[in-house]
Amino acid sequence: MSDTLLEFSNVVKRYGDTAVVDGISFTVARGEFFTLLGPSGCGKTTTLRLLAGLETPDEGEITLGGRCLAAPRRGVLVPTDKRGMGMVFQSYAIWPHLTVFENVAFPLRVRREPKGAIAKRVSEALQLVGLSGLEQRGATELSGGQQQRVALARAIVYTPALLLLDEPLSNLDVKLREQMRSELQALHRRLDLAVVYVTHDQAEALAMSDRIAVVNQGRLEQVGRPAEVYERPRTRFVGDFLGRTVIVKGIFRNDAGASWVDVEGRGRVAVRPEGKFRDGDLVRIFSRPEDITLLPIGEVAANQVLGKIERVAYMGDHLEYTIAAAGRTLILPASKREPFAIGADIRLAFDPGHITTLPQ
Amino acid sequence: MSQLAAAFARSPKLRGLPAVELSVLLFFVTVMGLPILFLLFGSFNIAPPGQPPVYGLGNWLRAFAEPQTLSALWMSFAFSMVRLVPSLALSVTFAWLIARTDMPGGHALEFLCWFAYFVPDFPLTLAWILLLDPNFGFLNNIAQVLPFVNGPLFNPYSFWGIVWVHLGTGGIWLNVMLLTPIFRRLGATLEEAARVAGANTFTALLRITFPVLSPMIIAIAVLSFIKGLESFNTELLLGLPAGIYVYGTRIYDYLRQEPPAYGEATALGSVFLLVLAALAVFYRRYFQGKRKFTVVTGQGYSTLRIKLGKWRYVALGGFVLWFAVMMVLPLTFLVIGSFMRRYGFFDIKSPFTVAHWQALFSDPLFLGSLQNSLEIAGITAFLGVLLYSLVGYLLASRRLKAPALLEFFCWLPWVIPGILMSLGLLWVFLATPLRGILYGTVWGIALALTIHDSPVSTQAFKSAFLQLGPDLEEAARVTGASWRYTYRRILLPLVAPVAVTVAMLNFGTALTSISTPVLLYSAESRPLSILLLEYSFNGEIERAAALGLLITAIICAMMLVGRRFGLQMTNPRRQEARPA
Amino acid sequence: MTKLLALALVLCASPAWAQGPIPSPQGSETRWNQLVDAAKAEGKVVILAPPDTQVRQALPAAFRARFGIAVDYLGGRSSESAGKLRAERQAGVYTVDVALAGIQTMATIFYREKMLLPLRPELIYPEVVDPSKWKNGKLWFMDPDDQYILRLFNTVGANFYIHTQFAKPADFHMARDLLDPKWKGRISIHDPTVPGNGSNEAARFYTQYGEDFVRRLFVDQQPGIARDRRQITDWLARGRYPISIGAERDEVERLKQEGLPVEAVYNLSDMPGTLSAGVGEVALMDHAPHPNAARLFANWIASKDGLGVYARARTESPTRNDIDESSFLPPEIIPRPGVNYFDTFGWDFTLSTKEEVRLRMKELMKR
Repeated sequence: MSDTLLEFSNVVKRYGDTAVVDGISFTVARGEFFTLLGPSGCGKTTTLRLLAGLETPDEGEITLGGRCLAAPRRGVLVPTDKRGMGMVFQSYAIWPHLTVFENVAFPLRVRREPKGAIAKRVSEALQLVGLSGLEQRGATELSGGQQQRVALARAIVYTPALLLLDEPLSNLDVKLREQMRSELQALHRRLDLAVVYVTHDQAEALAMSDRIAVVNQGRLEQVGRPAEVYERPRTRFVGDFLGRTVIVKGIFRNDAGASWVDVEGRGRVAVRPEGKFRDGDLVRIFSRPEDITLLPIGEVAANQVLGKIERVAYMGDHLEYTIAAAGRTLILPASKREPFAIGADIRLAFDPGHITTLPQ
Repeated sequence: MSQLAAAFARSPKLRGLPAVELSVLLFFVTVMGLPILFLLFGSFNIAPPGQPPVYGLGNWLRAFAEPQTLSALWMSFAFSMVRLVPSLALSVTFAWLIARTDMPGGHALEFLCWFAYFVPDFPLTLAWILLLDPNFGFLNNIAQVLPFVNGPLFNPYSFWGIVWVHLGTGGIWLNVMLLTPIFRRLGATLEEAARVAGANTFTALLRITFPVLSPMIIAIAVLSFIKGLESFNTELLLGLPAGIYVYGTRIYDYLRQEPPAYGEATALGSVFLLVLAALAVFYRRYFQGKRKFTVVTGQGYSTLRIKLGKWRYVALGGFVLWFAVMMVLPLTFLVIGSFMRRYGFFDIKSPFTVAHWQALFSDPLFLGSLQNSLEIAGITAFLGVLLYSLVGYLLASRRLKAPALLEFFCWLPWVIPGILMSLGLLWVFLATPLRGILYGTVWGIALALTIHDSPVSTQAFKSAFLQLGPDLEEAARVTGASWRYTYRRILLPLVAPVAVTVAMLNFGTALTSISTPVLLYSAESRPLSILLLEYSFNGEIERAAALGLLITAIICAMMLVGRRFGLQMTNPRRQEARPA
Repeated sequence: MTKLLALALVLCASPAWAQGPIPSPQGSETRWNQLVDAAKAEGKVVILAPPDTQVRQALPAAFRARFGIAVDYLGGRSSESAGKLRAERQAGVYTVDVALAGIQTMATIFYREKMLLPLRPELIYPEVVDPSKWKNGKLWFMDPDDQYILRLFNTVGANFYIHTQFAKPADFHMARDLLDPKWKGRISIHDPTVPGNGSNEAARFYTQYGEDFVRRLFVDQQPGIARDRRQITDWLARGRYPISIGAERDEVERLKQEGLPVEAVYNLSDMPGTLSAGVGEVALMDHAPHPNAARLFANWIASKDGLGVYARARTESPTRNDIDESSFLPPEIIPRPGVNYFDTFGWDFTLSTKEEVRLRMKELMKR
């Protein structure tokens, strides 16, 4: 993160007594695709609006490219229109009284660009989003996907310092969403723009982002590269939010530099000797279902826990087992090639590289 | 003014107010709050006019001690309530039919409503007397032919007669005018969703459309109710012979005394302030937590209309029948009346003449007054759009620190009888350093008239902005547009239909209002409505009718222009024709 | 139209006033010429006058034709004018030079609130100050100070009007005939509970015949009550209420011109008819913005010429005796000497009786 573009530090935004954004800090590098991920109402959209200047922070500081945008303590507040950002709204906010051309040309007109330049840049932007030829359409005569592209073209037509995307894909159907997702990525690479992307869809976040910030109740739970956040969630919330989880209770053991977790006498799983736990602590180990291998019953080796198949569901490309293990019910996928019968005892093999230990 | 602003800014409670809100509030305090304060203050002065003031409760006690005051108030409530139900039901139905269904001729019908609203109501009431009078009413005479009819069938000099005439004048037409653009902007999506969910058209209307629009519909109901409470012109003509006194009449009585008893009139008028306060509390209670009805966004904006099938002709027939009975019938009398030697007397020799029209056009004051009227109306329309779009925007933005206060001010001009409001304004004009610009000039009259319709104008813009939602504005701001540029290029064009409505309404009111300019005009700024007043006062009903019709015609002409302009602003296709 | 024509004839026939020498002592002629010049320098005069289209068209035209001075004619309801003037004066703004108004407005507003300048010393035109030119041998000042409010009209008013198809003049010999049960529900009155025509009539009946008579007429006879002059006249014209106490003379006059069978009843044996001045009073406002033009206008309106124009436009009988009123007035409305008319424009009657009776009427009629 040498080339920092945006610095968002300790920002607080309150509505009445509730802090919707409760001391969030992060940075975004030039050209980075940065995603704010979280459930609805977690404060991610407010964070984006704070960036855009549509909300005023109560505390903290926002700096873009060395220029302070907002610092309530110092009384600094750059108004929205002076921030030079591009933004795509969830509703697209296409102006219904203007044509496609006029919608996209608006930011340029605001900047009093010469007429010729406007025409050229609008047509470039429209070409970029694949809407060439629709310039003279009324904005309300477009489909949802097309409107989305207009909104995008409008946001990038003047090469903003930062592109803000507020759940831009949430109103599209699945197929269009996947298509737009890859187009957005391509566009991002091509324009080399820093993007702050807000979504509640973890798949979108994982697929597109350089880094993800998981937001919950106005706080950042974790920031990191997609794989990092997915595989080594720092909190239960992050783990749960990013995908399905397998959680097993146990007792932390630490002996002669080696650390493991005893799972109620049904097995032990090696973990990294993390300093925050001491011998005898009650903990939970956390893994993604796809990182657990099901093995037929036999000698219980390291990193294995005993379990029993309770139900099987046929999922087409794989099977899904409901397994009783360590006093819990786990749901795990497995290949169709070596099926287990209901009632069979099995071993669950954890991958020590993909385990996180959390306090109980 | 700026000193005052600075003083306000220093007060800790107001310091938090953003500058725009503060200046709008200050403006309202000056043009609405001060006049009313002045009136209230003056109402406690019990010294005879021209003497040094002595303060006491005499005027108030006298006004309310009269035993008839309460019964008149009750009568006004009764009238207003009874009128409210059919008037609201009809206007909502009409507006919905025009805006949301495929009923043929919707635009023409909307235009008719506009026209109807601005037909002067005094000669219209006279026309109803000609039609319904038990002795000589035309309809009663015709009804004699029917079997089982002995004696007069109708009697306009009665409670129901007054209700009937009121249904034809003003109220309903105004409501349709206000509701139609709102129904139009609502779009079809919500109704379509309800239809998909299995509701039939009627259920969708009842369960979805009306509830979504309920804040606006209730606001309009409140407008109608208060207007109804103040009404007294029709009641004077029709109620007096039947011994029906309304509250407005009592206020009017005090105002018309020589010397006028402004103190007593203000005391009685203050009841409306209480009603307003009560309604305001109710309104806020009712909509607490329900205020999320942002409906239109850029996306999914559909204007598909509901197909009524063959019912659309039934709907059209119903509308046309209503219009024919309530408007065309008396209006025909009115038009004919302006060409009669004596309005309504067909049996005198050579009853028809163009003399009244000739007399009107040859009145030496006519041309000058026409010019003044047009100037005043033009300025009023412009100021109205400018001011109330801003106020409506502020109220809709939900970012105000004191929205209730601003809203309250907007309602004030309708709860103070027009002539009292003018008196208060007169005082304010005279007291300000702007006296030279405002007193006795077209600007002063235009300013007063701009304030006059603030409840309607504010509500119209507020609901339009509420429906718009914040995204369209924020999108423009993010792209680098200043607020003013956004307002001009994005917000105003988007609410253009409402802006045109408000402009036309202000224009029309400015041309027709009498009670507002009557205290504020001078020989240089005399408008047509003052001529109208003089003709009526003189008993020259025919010439007054001619002038009234002429004013209505001017308003209609302006409306045609205005609508075209408004459509151009909202329709992206048409805008292409204009140079960028 | 005929009125206008008559007016034009009068204008042409009368001597050219301002230019021609005035047959009077040298000093007053000089004063007069100085006044005319000063008034011309001021350029215009603002008059507060009745909202009457005829007057509004006739007076300014005639005044301008004489002196070349424009008249700003503010015609409004006196209650509104009063409010406006009060507000202006509180703010130290003075806009009106001369007022032409009814006695009610003059006495209860302008005079009582001390808005007037003494008029008598400002009257300098010889034929105006000459008492022999006035019907009573003196200028008709109305106010107790005998110098503020000059009465210009003195017209006989009808007692009531009838529709001759339903009521005959022969039905009425005495005031009591109005109380005949056959007229129950057949009489219309102007609302006597509000100041104006109705309360004036009531006060007149009350003063002349007492409360019992008034109760029987205004309550027991169940009259039709209206406030709009046109409505009351139409009731009369259609015979809905064939007897009208509240109708206005010029309105009934118009009906007669259209050939409708309506008649005025002027003299009954115990009911001699009324005298009134309508809006025929002139007064000078103090702090006039155009003081000289104001004086000039006041002199002119009290002169043979100006009063002639005004009386013609209003169809009222002037208080001057040198105007040929029989040429434009029906003989009934010109007061005859020796008749004991009831003057509704007396000062005390205006200032106290009318209001007392009005309030009593509210009680009697329970309104």
